[in-house]
Formats: sequence, structure tokens, C-alpha cells
Amino acid sequence: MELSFAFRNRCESIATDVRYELARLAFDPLCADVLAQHLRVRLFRPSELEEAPPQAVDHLMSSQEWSAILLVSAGHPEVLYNPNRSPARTESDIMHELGHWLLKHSLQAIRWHNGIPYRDFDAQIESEAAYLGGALQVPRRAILWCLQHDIGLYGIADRYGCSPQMAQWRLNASA
Amino acid sequence: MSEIDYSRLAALVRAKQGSRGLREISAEIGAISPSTLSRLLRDEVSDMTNSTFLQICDWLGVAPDEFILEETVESSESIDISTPDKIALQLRADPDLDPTTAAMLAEMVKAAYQRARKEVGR
Repeated sequence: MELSFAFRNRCESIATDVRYELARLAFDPLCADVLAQHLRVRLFRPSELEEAPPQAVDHLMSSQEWSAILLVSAGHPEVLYNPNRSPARTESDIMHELGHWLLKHSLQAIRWHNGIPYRDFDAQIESEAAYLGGALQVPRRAILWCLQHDIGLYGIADRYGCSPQMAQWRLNASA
Repeated sequence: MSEIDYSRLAALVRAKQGSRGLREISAEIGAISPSTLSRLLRDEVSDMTNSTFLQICDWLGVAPDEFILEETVESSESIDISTPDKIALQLRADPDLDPTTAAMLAEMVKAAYQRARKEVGR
């Protein structure tokens, strides 16, 4: 899904702004839980929700299938995340959901079929959150800093707590 | 005019039911009584609540739109639907999620909203 130059620049600005708000430099690493706390977004895993049905907790705590989901109730955002994935994957899962929150993505209009409500999966919104999530994790300024300091792909992944695939994607996006 | 292909729905439920009794199947599905299930299987159902229909789809592991007979686009703004239900619908529409995981996530979402309401009430 093609994202405009303006949108991608906006994402890089957001990544810089949140770092400045946290008294960090534009190319500093930023952990998802630190950003979540700054944005007042609660993070929780299925086992931490006492009200949840036990079968749902058991299924989700043992499943690799799902990543994370942003919930907003009465204006209070929280992210339910899957703790079974790798640390790098969890970071990008949470950053993706924080991307949705920062972009103010609301639930899309429901499409109705003769009284039955459902909606199509929105690829555009997911692409936008994926791009911002990646920028939050490894901003363009960080890529440039790493290149200036001869830090390669695996060094970037290590420094920013991301997967090598994410680091490569961000290198390509910053070219 | 029928919106949902209840005959096809019934056929798939019968196929999955096999030799098991109505009470067992209705308990597995949840949100449907044995008597309603019996009417469905006898092709005597022409209307059903959205939540019951979606629950049956989850149990079958089949997307709801497999049973839609005709398409009419209506405004969503005129019909009130709770946020947890909207999220549940989004989860069902996610092509990367199997129906069981989508259903379990939907349960978690409802529980999270219950917690949020309790906390607001304090």
C-alpha cells in the first residue's frame, strides 16, 4: 500500500517529537513501554485481566497467532499484547498499536448487509500504523546516525531492540 | 426476503453436529437455546439475533459473509452498536486471525471494557 511522502515525513516528525518530549535525542532508542507510559496508554497481557474468561486467557496466553490490539474506553487507551512473541516482535507489535493511537485511527464505519453488521479489514489504516510504528522504533534520524557511525544491520537491530527484518525495512525506507 | 441463507447455515451446523445431541451442540455454540437450534435445523428459522448468528459462525469457523444472500449498504450511523461489538466485528474481519482466536480476543475486549467501566465508576 503506497503511503504519501507527506505522510511518511509526518511519521518521522512524530518519532522525533515524542523523543524530545521525553528529553531524548532524535536518534536515541525508545522502548515501547516507555512511550506507552508517556502517552498514558496502559499495556497489559491476557493473564493480567481478572475479568477475562479463563478459556480466553488460556487460549490467548498459549497462542502465537495474534499480536496486539488497541482498546479505547471512555477516552482511556490501552493495549492488550501477546507476551508469547519474541521481545523484538513484541516491541513492534506495541509500537504498531501506539501508531494507531497517535494517528487517531478510530473504528471504521461498519458495513451492513441487510441488517447484519461487519466490516472489511482496512489495509490503508494498517499500513499507516505499521509505518509509524516502525518510525517510532527506528526513526530515519536513527538510521542516519547509525550509518554515520558505521553501525550495520545487526547493530541497528540490537541498539533499537528490533528484528533484523525491521532494521532492513527501516534502512530501505530511509534511503 | 431472507438476508441470511439459513438453509446453508443449518446444513453446515448439521454436518458439524454429526450424531451429537442438541443440548451438547447448543452449549458448545453458546448464545442459542436447544429449541432455537432445533428450529434452525428443521429450516424453520427466518430471523435470528446478530450475536447468535455470529456465534454460530464462530463455532463453524466460517466467515459471516458466506451466508449473506443479498447485499444492501446501509448507514451505520443510524444503528447503535457498542464499541466492544465493533471491535469484535473488526477482529472477525481480520484475514490473519482464525475464528477461535478472534472470538477469544473479542471476549478479552469485552472484559477489558468491563474493567474500564468499573474503574470509571470508582
